Amino acid sequence: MKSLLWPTVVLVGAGLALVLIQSDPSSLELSRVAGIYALLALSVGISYGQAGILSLGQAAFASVGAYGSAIVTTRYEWNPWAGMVLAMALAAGLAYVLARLLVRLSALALALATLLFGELVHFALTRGGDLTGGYIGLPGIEAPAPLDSREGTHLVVWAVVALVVLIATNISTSAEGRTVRGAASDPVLAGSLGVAVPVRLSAVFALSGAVAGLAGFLFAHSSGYLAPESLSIEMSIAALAMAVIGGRYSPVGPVVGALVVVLALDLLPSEDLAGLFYGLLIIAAIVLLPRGLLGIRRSTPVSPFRKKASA
Amino acid sequence: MSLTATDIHVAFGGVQALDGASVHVEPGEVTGLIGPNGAGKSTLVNCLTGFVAIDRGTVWIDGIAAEGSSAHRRARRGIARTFQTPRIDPDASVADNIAMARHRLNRTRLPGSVLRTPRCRREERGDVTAVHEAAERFGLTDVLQRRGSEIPVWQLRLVEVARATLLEPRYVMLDEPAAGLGGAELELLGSSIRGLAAHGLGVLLIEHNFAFVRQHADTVTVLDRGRLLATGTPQAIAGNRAVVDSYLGATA
Repeated sequence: MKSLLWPTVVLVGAGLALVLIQSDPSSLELSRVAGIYALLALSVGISYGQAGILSLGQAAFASVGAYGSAIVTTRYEWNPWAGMVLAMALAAGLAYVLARLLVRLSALALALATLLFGELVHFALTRGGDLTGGYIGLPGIEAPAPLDSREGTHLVVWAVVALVVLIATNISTSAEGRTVRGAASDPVLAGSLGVAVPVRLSAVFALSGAVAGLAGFLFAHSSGYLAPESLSIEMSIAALAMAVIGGRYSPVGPVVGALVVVLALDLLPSEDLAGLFYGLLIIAAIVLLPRGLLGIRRSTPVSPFRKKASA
Repeated sequence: MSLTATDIHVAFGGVQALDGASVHVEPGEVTGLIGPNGAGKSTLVNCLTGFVAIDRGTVWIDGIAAEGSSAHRRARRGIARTFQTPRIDPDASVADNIAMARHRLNRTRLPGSVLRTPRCRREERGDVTAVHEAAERFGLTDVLQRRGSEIPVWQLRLVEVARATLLEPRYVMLDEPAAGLGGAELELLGSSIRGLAAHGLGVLLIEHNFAFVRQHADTVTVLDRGRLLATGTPQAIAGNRAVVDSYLGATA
């Protein structure tokens, strides 16, 4: 099973990393942050790499999921795992509706719309009164086992990353992935072939939203608190940078991008330099590696027609 | 059972592109659509396939008015088309480009693809077989792995026809598929078009090469300045005074 290669690499890597860093809280914290960023970057890879939707709102979808789960678990005593399902469903539902309304816009207008959506979410969260805790946010979010330990969190987060890498692989190698990439590249042609372009692209965006919502859930329930700034627009931009740098067409590229960026940021002397750093990285990636570090051409390695032709 | 457009009027801004045009496509027959540049041939195909809104007139798909039916719905109802300027994803392989047409027949969507259900695998195996068969019919086997950007325009026209047939349509609109094709390819295309009609498809063939139309079409419709000028057998059209004067004159 070729599709299990990258998920296995991620799992084994996470296991080995745990052996190396298990007694080091700051490294485990870095790993948690990198894993959550990897999930956000993967959600960008799915929406941008497959459906061609450049989204600057992925952290907002994560925020919606995180707040959804945090509110029902702290205020209404839901089981946290039910909160996880709600987080994914909320983010996916919002993403679907947003994409259905906006997917006919030009690429740039759509990107700006997702940015505005992020601002709207931020506005709603800060003005949400007692429900969202306003600017202060929500403290005391329950950490269900195994998210109650740093080691457990590390393993859960990276196991989810491996699972999403598998999902991304299955999309990019499937007939549906082929259809969606074609619909994004030439909607007129896709329409002439009977493809309901807005529905197909929106479905992929909804899945991307679900992944972001799951990242938000993991963030909220492993941090224990949530504020409007926790999953900020800067995180959306960072996730986009990671996906572009790592390779948005590759199912594992965004994970590589997240690791590279998080580790490099950790070495930066000041957090104030982060914005400059992202800007330089994105420009460098676009100029030097337009397809990212794992820069694959959009369809070559995933075409099922290869084997037969070479046989 | 037929695909029929009657009395179609379409204006683009101040330009009356179609001014009462009609055409009739019968299953199992090849209908040639000819006329000078700007006669409205491609616009008429765009009306039949739902890409252009009609100001006045009706498109009938097997006796049912197609009014308001969008392009993708008409494709799903079995109306395939090619484009005068070939549309191809330059980054995707020729195989993937052709395989996109299989979406209509396959039922697996995103959830099934994520889970790689048995139906998903079965349908994808079917895609591979179907694409290879179509490629063989149109002499494209050797270029299946090439990128869309890497093959010449005349071959893209064959890719478009192969892709349209993979929809397994009941009607297929071919917009100048023979442009730029040489002797052997022209013959291949001609026999493929006859083959489609023999399988019961209704074929609409837009073409400037009247010899090619005359050889392969059962009936010919002539448009001139958005109006129906004449319709009849290729022989009758070749001898039609008005057609010779307005269009064929130079070539006949």
